[in-house]
Amino acid sequence: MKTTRAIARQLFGAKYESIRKSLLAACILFFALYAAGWELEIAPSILYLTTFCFSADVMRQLLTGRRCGERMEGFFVLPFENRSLVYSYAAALGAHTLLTKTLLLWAAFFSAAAWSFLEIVTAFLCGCAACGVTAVSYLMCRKRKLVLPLCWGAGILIVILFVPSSAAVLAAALASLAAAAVCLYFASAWDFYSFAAAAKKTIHRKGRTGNVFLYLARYLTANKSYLVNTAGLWGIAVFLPLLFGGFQGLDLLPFGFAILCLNTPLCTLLSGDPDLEQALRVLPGQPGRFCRQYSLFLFAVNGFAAAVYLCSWQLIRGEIGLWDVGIAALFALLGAVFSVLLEWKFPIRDWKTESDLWRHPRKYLVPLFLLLLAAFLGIWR
Amino acid sequence: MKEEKLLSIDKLSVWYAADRPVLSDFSIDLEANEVVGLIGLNGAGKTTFIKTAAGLLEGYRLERAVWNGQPFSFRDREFKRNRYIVFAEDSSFPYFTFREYLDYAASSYGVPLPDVSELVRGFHFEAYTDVLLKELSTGSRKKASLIAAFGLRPSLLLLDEPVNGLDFQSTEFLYRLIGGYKEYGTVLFSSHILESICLTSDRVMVLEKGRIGRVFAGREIAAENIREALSAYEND
Repeated sequence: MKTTRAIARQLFGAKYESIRKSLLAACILFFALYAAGWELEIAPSILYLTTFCFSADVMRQLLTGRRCGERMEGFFVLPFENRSLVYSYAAALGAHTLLTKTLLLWAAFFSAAAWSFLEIVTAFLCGCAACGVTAVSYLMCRKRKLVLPLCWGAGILIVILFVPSSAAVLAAALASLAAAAVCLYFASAWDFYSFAAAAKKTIHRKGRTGNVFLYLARYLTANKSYLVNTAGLWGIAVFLPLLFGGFQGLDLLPFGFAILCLNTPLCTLLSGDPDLEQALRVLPGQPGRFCRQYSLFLFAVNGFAAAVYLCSWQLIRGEIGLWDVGIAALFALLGAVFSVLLEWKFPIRDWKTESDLWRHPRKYLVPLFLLLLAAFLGIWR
Repeated sequence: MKEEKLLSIDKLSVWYAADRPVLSDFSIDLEANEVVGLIGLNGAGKTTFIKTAAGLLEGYRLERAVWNGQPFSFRDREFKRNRYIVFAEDSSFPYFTFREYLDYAASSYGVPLPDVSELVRGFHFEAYTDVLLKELSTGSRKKASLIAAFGLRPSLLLLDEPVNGLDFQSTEFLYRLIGGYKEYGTVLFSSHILESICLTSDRVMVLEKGRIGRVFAGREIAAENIREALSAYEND
């Protein structure tokens, strides 16, 4: 228990402030949506699938995050009981995932539709199972055992999507949770700690110029999850035109540009690297020097996503003109400039995990502004 | 004619929490072309002062700040372009190599790229100049920061615990660099290692209870004198 509490305090804060904030946010979200009177027909499988995939992704981010790795170092320095540390670590990260992230998702779902007690319990257990399965899969992947985690995940998804029974999903979730607990029983706490960085071969580079573009490109390619997120956005750009059906009197094209500016990892470069932020504030002339090039880099990334989206729109719906290209460039530029401005003026501080950083409410400010602009342009056009 | 001071700060108070100032009525004068050591016990406020001078902290007030005879603020562009800071711990620009970082820093300061080959040799840093900074050890990262600092030659160098993490040879080389920097500008460095303070400083300031308690100069700078002053403060 002591170990769990120690890890939990690092994740939630000394007085578990994160839990209180999350509960408050969930209550506000729930009652706001409930009061809005939205009633949707949502299939239980959608709830289970979303819960499972979302929780698994957040848990994966926590396990692979740099800060969690640094936390583990602190525990390894002290004498520890292996099984206790393994279970405590997995439980604390799982609790953080469910209480600070998945809880908001549940608040949205539960306010929008009526659910039975069985379905709510099943959703909760899907979340728990996702955290357990992800923890075990992480350990297996570290040992290059990829087949079993893939089959395990696929098996759960098949049950969720193709078995029309909440009881079956509940049973699958319980069985997965039990299996994860058994696997963790035999796991070593050291397997959670990443030694990979120390083992890499040192590369001597030929560059002599301090080019910010090059710096950002290296930053992007060195962090695989950032690269995946960016590529994912470009992938979404291909399918976005399919989601936008015909709306009378509203041009939906600009909404896609706004959504594609939501590249959180790249737009929180300074918040995510406090040492870099400190150095940029100490060196002279950085608002102009670094921030200008950072904006251009983001403009290039957003612009590429917008270009993919435009091409896809042209193929699916047609009627792309110069005006639309101009709007795409405008949104890409505004998204880049405002993101950098927010990072410079209002960096996110005191975050405990990369997940907290990536899901901070501030990340929605720029897309929200751009969505409003898109709505205005959509109506005006 | 009275020589103008390089930097004068009067009655600086700095706090992280409003009811608990770390520095209180802290005043310091720095002449041009001198080496000043700042020593104090853990938590005395050495790093806090350097971070304030870097413009990183907002919780402060002061009565007067003068740079080269002109009032200034820590975030003024002119002041920034004439000072360089080496922090005790610094993991910035992890995706630059040292050479790329030096080029970037020189452009930021608006100076030509300096020739640091002698500094690189002196710190035995030849094997690391083209390696990403994130792949360097703590000591090597410190060397990279120090080479950039001494290579850029600003009017004022602020060094926070510069000896930390350095090997023996590099430490000796650093002492020589600090002593020789008077030709180019002023060095203010904080340390809790008496040897580094005594070997290199023209003046030593003892930081205690949020302000400069005693100043040693010339022949007064001796380990036993400073140790005695620190012990007296510890027992207060």
